[in-house]
Amino acid sequence: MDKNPDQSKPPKLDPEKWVSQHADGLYRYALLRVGDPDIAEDLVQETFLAALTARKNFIGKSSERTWLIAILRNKSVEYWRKNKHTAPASSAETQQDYFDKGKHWAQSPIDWKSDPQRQLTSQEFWETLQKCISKMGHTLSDAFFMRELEKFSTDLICKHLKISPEGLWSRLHRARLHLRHCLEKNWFQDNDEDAEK
Amino acid sequence: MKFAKALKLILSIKCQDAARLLSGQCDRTLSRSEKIALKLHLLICRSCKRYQKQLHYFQSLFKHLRHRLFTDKALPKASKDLRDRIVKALRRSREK
Repeated sequence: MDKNPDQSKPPKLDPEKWVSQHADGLYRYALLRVGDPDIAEDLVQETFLAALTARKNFIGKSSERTWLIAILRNKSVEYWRKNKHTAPASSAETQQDYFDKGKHWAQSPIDWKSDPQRQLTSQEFWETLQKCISKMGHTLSDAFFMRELEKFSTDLICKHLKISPEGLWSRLHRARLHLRHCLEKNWFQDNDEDAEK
Repeated sequence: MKFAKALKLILSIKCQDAARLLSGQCDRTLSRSEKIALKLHLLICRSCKRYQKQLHYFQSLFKHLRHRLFTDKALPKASKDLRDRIVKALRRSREK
């Protein structure tokens, strides 16, 4: 994420400017985490309101965006806690065996011949990515996002989630296996110009 | 004794183990015997080689996503309705 110059005293808040700077990014992040536009909107709104209240605690150690994302992340966790019955902690798919009894791939990965940068411009790809991420369940996506998207160190993530490094690596491994399987099945297998079997 | 353990790993490594090591490589430094076992396995296993490429793909994908989440104009936007609602709520909150 970006690094804002240090703002040690919270500047006079201009709600419209604040929202125009961060709403889109937060909405997209929320969309990837929960998969539902309505829920994502609610989370973004709650995030801004919570941030307003907590503004005095923002001492500028991280950028404003990182700080807002942290609040959004907490709101997501609260949401999952309240909706345990509708939002599974870990998707049934992650228990699936991607490997057969001989420890070989049950379904051999295919070649993904594509440019990630270009793919992000496709609305359909974005939707597929969103679905696949939300299917992985919040336990895995929490760890996965902190590692792959926000690039936090293993130590920091372990401290935050209160798990061991081995526990973290296991979650990341399962998240990656799930995501590659889901994307392959729902995107690359049908898009010939992006894949080669 | 260390050599025997390393040899055992190298000879017994299968795709399931290699996949775990490939993922592990993204987040930690593998031990020397793990590195060798993985390298040898990748020489003979096309499936795992493809998985390795897919992991690189993820790193690239999320790197671009990270940069574009807040700046890209083409990705889904927060609706005008949402923005207005938030601005209103912020103003109301501030006045309390």
